[in-house]
Amino acid sequence: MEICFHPFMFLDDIEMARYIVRRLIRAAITLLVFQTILFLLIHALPWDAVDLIRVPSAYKPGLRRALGLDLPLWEQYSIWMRSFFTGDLGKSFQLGRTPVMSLFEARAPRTLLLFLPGAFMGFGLGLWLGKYIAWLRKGWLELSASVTGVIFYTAFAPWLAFVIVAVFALGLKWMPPENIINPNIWAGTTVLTETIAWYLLSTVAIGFLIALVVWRVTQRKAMRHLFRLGGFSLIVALTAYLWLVSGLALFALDMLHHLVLPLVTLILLTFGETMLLMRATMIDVLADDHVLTARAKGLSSHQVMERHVARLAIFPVFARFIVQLPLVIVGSFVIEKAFFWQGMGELLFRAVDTYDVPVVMGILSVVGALILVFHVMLDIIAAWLDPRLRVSFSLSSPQKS
Amino acid sequence: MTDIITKSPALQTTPLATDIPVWRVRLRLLWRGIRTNVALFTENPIGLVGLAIIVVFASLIVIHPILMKSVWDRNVYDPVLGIDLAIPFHPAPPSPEHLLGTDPLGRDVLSQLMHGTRSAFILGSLAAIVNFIVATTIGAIAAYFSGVVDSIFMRIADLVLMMPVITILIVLGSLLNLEMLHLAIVIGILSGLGGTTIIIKSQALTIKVRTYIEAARVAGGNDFHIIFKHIVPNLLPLSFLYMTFTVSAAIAIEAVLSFFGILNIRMSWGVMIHTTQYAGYLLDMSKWWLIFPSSVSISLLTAAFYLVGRALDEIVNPRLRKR
Repeated sequence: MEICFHPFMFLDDIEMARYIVRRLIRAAITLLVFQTILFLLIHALPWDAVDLIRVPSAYKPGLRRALGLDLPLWEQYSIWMRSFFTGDLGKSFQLGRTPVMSLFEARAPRTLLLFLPGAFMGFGLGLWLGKYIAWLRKGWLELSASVTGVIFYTAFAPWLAFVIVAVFALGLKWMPPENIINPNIWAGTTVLTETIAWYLLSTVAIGFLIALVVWRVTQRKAMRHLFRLGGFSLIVALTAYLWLVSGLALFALDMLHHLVLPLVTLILLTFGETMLLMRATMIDVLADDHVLTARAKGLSSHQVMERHVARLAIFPVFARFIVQLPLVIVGSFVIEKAFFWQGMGELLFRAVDTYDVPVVMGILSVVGALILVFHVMLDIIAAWLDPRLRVSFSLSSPQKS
Repeated sequence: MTDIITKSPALQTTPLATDIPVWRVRLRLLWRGIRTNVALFTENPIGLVGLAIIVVFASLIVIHPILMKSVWDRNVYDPVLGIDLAIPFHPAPPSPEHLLGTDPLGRDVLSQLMHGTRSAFILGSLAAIVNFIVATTIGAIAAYFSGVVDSIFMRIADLVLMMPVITILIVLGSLLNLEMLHLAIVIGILSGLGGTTIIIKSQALTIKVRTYIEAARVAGGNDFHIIFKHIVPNLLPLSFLYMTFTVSAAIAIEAVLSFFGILNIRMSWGVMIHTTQYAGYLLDMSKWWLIFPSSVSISLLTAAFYLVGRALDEIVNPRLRKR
């Protein structure tokens, strides 16, 4: 049978397609239940929402009718669900009655700019370090790397942030200590920070994809190191050129300058767990017989490590990463608060201080939905990498002749 | 049955078989199991380091009331209400009277640190016990009954995994009046229902298919008896491992929440940092004794429980076990 290569090849597999459909249905049910729980949570709280809005008491009955709080509970529930799925999260009680969704449109890109690179760079660094530590198996290296990993992983997040600020921002004055931009640079422009944040995010994503393509294409070439070096420097040069031409380079650099310290803190906090787990699973796989076979047939040490050990060892680490993601997102909230990075986390703390219930509930539902999307995506990627996962949850027999 | 065993020629020669009562055999087996596990645990320097740190902190808890009764004056050294009026300016740097200095309100930092250790241990163990009860019971029940019960509990686990725990606690803590006990229960339930249940369940599934479960069923044991007498005891090592991770997580979560001033706790390590921040000394490195003792303690104790957990992991986790 001839195999036709195309980007959605994994959908050809009927098991895979069924797995994806099943996973999506499960995710939809989970989202419904999550929203219901949030709805019940608001109604379980021991006060009246009308008392939290600052209006004279004579207006309160009218306000109650306007907010729909006099309706029966099931009707409020249907309104709540309908407005959530049409993207309407209500209006803030405090911040000038702004719609919550427009607040998020300004804040979400900043949080993503911190959280996405932080999570993936932390994961990548952990994988890489764990792989080499397990492969080299040097006593002093293992001990020092493990201890460093544990110290950073269990370090008290705000304190680590403050130590980093005190050393690199206040002591050495390399980086700004807090805030998201330098207002002197941005004075007199109409450019929004969230626009720059979106551009930066898409630059990183596109650049990463092109780099991945270059990596795959040159995999079997003779002088692949040269090709890769040339390709990567070409990507970097092209990106820099495009930014310079657009005229936004200065603003982007300013934001990146402010991003460095929070990002480093987030990476330091997250890489340890991945590294320790990768080391443990690598050592586990190294004891298998197929590694000996691979060595015996004369493969190079690098090939054995990459293709025969690391590729198997990565699955449990990947599964752990999926479970860890909510923690990373919350960790980035704490770091936002510590660095005054004005994203969703900072908004959450402010809303909680001022009893701004719509904003708080909006953040909870958006973060929950975001985590769910990540779970589904990573589950599908994991199933794509490991065919065993596709059939393990199916109720009927997967074998068909 | 016993007659056949005792009269078999293979066991006649050994001194163990005939006259020793069953409970002593059981005790000896238990002791041997403990000894092998301790030997395996001590092989690993990482676990020992963690254990040593935990013992040091535990000794602080014991020393504190003794010091308060004997050497330290209650009016000066009380962790919450004490104040040293002999020193004109607070926070004062470390001195022979106050080994770790005083905080902005004139209280002794060392005394606060010791008192905070007790809060951390109480919170951690409570959360771990709740986590243990929830995860083991639900994991065993889901694995044993499978089918509908299993998928209901697994969907709940999906849901809990989706919840950002600290975010929910921040919301609950600021809208309600959360105290230590509530916090421990919420952390225990959320961590128990989520990841831990899934892992415990997969372990319980491998136990469920063993022959002794079938034997117990043939002998007439009901579901309750099989779950709690035959499955749960075999889950204990793995649950104990996840208890240590829960302790670690609970201490870190409490510190973060107290630091942001959300909880209703009188004295803990997080509250100490909150006091420092409130007085505006947070980034002042010349006043290191305000923030370093509590933060380093939080990091050390969470690291210690995490290390013990990792070392236990290598003993009880079937995937990593070397035997």
